[in-house]
Amino acid sequence: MKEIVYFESKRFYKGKIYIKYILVLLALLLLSYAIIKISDSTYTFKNIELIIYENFTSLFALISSIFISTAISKEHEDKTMNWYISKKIKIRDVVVGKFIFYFINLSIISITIFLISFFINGRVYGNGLTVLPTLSIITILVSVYFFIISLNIFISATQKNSGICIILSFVVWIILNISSMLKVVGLYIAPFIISSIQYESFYKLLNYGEIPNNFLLIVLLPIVYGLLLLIAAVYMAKKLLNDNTI
Amino acid sequence: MNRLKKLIWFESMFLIKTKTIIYLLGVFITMLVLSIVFPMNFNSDIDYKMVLGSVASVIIQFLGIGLIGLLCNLFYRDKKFSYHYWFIKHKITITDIVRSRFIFYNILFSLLAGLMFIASSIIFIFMYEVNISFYSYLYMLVLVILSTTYVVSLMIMISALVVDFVSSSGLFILIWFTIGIINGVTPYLGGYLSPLDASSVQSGVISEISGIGSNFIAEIDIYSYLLALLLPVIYAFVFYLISIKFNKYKRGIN
Repeated sequence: MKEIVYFESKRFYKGKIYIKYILVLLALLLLSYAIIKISDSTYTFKNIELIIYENFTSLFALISSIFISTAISKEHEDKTMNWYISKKIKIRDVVVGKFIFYFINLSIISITIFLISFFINGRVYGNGLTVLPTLSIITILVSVYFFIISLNIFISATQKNSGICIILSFVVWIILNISSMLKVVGLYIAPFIISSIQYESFYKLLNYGEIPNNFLLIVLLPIVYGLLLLIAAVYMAKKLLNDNTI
Repeated sequence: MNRLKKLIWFESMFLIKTKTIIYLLGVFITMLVLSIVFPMNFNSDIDYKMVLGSVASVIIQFLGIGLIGLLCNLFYRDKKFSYHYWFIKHKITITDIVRSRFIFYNILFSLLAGLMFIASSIIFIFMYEVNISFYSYLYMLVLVILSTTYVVSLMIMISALVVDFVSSSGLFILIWFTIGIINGVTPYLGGYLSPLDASSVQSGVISEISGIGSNFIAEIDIYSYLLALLLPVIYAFVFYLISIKFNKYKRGIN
């Protein structure tokens, strides 16, 4: 698994993918300010952070698919499975190793940018939150990213072509957004959409600074979904990559 | 002409063999459902005109994201799957490849977008009372088709300039966001840059016809109606010229 993380990081940093990723996130951050101006809202700490959170979860789900879509399907495209077999690396380790790499790297960069904007906006516009609500917000973000990245890894493990993975991610994104409009059930379907309990609790934390009673459920639900998706991803990757061996 | 036909045949076979066409139809169907559900969620007093306006806006603003997987991968996949040999064998030049892809994908997706708009307008006849004039409907249909050519041409240009898949898709997303930022900073200029944003002149015209909301701030007059139609075509042509002149697709063919 260590080897997978090492190879993936080599590809990520050698291809300067991380620079493109940071640029996209910075553009997303600036877009959040532009949205407030376009919609004629006032620049307050709460308004800005709500839009940034919305963009850094909902749109992040779309953007991250570009960077993760090649994770597993690339192994099929490049026909690298025989190399893994020669190195005695299991498919499970390939999937989990890639997940760990993307989860740590993409989340850390994204959460760092989110937090920098969080503290700067708190300084400029006032109303900065205390430590405990801020930590709760970070925890929610981490759990949402856990779900998003495992969903993308799962999609990547289902298709032979990385281009199709992005198309599929978009379709899944729309379907999840549509299903979120269902009453009650919509709260628990996808953690990155505006009607989710995660968004609701972020709103409460931002406005009242209070940690919701069901905080454990809010954090654990995306992680449970994510784990289930990862198990499914391992199964799908086995089917996909085993066809690839000589 | 013969080479162009061969290339268009090659592209259609690629779409069918890789089953990409099925996924693209999935994109169109889910977008259709989204545009049906979207206005219902926010406004209970919606009418036929408003729903059509919503459908047009969803197609224009979101279609690009749905097509990233295919169009940003367009030139990268040739390198990846070594299609160069086939091109060399059939004496196909880079200009032929770029031109054929502009023609094929613009026709394909404009038709699909137009069909999606017509299909949704037929579905809504059973749900709402028709309250739109024929000419307004026709105008919106043409606007959807022409705006689609803008999106498709922009993506093919990006794919030709930045051959790497992750880079070209990242660049498209960056452009999408940058247009949004420019619209926020300089709304008058931003409105005429691209139909991809809710502050564009296209969005303003759709809002004027259908009554749905738009962030376009300038006044809508007859010139706005004309500009909304002409600008995407002019931009698409510029994108085509840039792709022919500056494409990075040189290795392995000439």
